Amino acid sequence: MSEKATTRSIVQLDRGNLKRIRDVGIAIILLVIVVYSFNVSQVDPINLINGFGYTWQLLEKMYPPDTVSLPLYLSLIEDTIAMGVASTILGVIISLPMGFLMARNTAPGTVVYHVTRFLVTFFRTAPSMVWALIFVVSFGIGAVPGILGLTISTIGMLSKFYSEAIESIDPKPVEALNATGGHGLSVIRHAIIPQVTPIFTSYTLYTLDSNIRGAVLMGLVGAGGIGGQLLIQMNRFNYQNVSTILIMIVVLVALINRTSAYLRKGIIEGTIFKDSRRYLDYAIVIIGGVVCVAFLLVTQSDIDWGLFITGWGKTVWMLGKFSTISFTYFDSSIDLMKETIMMAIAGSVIAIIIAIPLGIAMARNLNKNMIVANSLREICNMFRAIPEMVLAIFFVAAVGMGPFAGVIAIALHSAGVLGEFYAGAIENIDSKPVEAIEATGASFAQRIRHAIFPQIWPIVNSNNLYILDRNIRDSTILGMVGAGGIGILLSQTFRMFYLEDAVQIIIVMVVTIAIIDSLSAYIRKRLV
Amino acid sequence: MLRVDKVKKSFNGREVLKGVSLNVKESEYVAMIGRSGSGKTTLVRMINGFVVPDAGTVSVKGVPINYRNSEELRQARKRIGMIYQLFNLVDRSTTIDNVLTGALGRKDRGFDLLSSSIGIFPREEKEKALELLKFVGLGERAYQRVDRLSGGEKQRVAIARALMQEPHLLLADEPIANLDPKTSKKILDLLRKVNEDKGITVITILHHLESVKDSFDRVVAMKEGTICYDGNIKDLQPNWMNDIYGTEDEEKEVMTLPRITANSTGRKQIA
Repeated sequence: MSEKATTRSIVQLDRGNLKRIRDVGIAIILLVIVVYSFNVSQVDPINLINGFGYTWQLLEKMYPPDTVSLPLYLSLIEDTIAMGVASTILGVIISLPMGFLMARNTAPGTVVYHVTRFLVTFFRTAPSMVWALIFVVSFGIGAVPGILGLTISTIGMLSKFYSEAIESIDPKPVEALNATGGHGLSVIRHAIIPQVTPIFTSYTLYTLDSNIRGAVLMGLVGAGGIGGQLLIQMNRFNYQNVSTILIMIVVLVALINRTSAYLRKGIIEGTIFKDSRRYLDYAIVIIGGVVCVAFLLVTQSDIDWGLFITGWGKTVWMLGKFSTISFTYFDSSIDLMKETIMMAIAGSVIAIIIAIPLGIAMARNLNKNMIVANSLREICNMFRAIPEMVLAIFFVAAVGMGPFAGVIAIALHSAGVLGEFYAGAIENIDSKPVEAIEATGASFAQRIRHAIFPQIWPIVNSNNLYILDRNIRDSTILGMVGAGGIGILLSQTFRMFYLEDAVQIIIVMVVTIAIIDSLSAYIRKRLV
Repeated sequence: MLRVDKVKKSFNGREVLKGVSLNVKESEYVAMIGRSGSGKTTLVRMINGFVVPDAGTVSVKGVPINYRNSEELRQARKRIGMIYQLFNLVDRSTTIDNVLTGALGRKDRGFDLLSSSIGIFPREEKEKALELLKFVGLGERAYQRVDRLSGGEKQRVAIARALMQEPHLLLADEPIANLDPKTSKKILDLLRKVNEDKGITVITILHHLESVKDSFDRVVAMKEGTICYDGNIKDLQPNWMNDIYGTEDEEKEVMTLPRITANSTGRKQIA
């Protein structure tokens, strides 16, 4: 009685098998790359097991935290916050017009559009630390180069965010205003700005969060704030001071992260900036802004403004030196860039492996045990907030210099980011097919594979690629603290004023990052 | 083959099922109607274990359903298929992948469990899935993504998935509520074909009986948590439909239609 399937469907069945062979082939190639990356980064079971031991030893040396230097560290934290706030304010002021110039629907001409896009991409590609290094040479050590470095990378990030928001507005109010004879700035003021204010505010808050974290790192190249002290105490082996500083950094970063996330959620969900309490909210924002500026003026009263002026002269001199390139260290650049990429791959892969069970355990629709789910969430938040550089410093002290420390730092930080993301993706799935498959008598594992996995696979892969892309970018500077990769070459050439070599290194970095950025964007588009 | 015995269920203090009993024989083709909130879906979801009765029992083929033991629940669910109002398919996957998930319940030991948890199915299963797709009229669409199909086609995929389980019983929770009248008729015809060709017992929840009266023999009508009519569709008088569905401004508590129920031996009686 049963009919055999049609010939065409059998052919399709066999074609399905070919597709499977292709997928297996791709998987094997990726596996080979991953194994190679582990090899280059010295990741093997022995190192991993020893790593636990060394880490524990270091933690023991760091207890109890020192309290004597607390006042000094607190003032440095103030400086750090001030740097973050100042660079955000400056960045916002410049990015606002830039965003409009860069958006397809508001750019005043194709030349302007392309020039600003190029400039902003250039600002964004080089990590903020590189900018800070450049400015430290011109302006000397202190808060100013840090602020400038952060501002440049802020412009890179925020202008793009703003322009994307402007491009995705509802065009109808703009058309309506144009039809009544309005033009230019008044259209912007009345049709565009009201639409984008909430998301602009959200992006700005995110930038503030990111810049305070970045300001911590600025200190590592001498640009002021608590980062510098961290490195000094590390180098003097004063581990108890180190632990005080680390705790303060973690608390600061976690607090800012929480507040920013809370405010942003409120804006997106409409509970903040609601029409009914709009005036109250704007008042808060303005008062907040005034407080920030006052805070800055008070804490940064020791900025040497003379140096600020002469510094620009020095920058011009530096740019002059930059126009000549020396390829003396080109081979080392390539080698170390390769090491950087391999380190990032290894760290990202380990992060993914950790984050998968983590995400499943934190997903509230899979794990009904609230205590476990929430405490895991807290741990992830902590690792997410701690900058990779700080983790790298810690692990260089624990397991020694080299890419292995870098891999651990990347793995832990990214596991926090990815775990959170996976949990969110699982919580947002359509539960209907899950129930339907459960109704056929399928087991838990079968449900995950056939109902949950197909729904999240493309977006999980897309995000994994994005994280890999970000990690390659961030790993370029980990070498500055000894954690492997091209960073060490960069900081050395700067310190020795071999600026012509530094240019070559920066170009290698920027070009590699740009290539990987576009590759990753292309693949991600095809996935979803 | 299905025996529901005086089940009760309350949600948040509201009694949704007030002691319902029902018997369905092998290969019967049953329609279940009633207003929203009358308890139809709750009752049907008790059969495959998604709602746990506060009192009473449900037995399939003589085996009472043990709601507390997840392994026994799994075993019971293996031979009970279900299709849904919103189809409940995995949109990103292909048609055939969706149908193959129906075989998961049967692959519950050792190597089968391992291979199906990775996503590998033996060739016989794939050929069986293709046969079933041909049975429901979608033989040529096996490798298309489900989100490209129309509503009627999606419901057919869902039916093929349920058939993959080789079920004794097929439950249909408002399967045509999201479909236009013409497609609805086709789906009901398909369900009738499933019942006649394969001898599978089918219970279908419907919102409106009017347009589909010719498809069904037996009708079970629910009102406010009890069965108020259970019998042949030919004996159902049109004006009783008002009582089953009720009109908004009616305050009458008293039901005007005689209770006709079939007892376990199938003889009609007035309760």
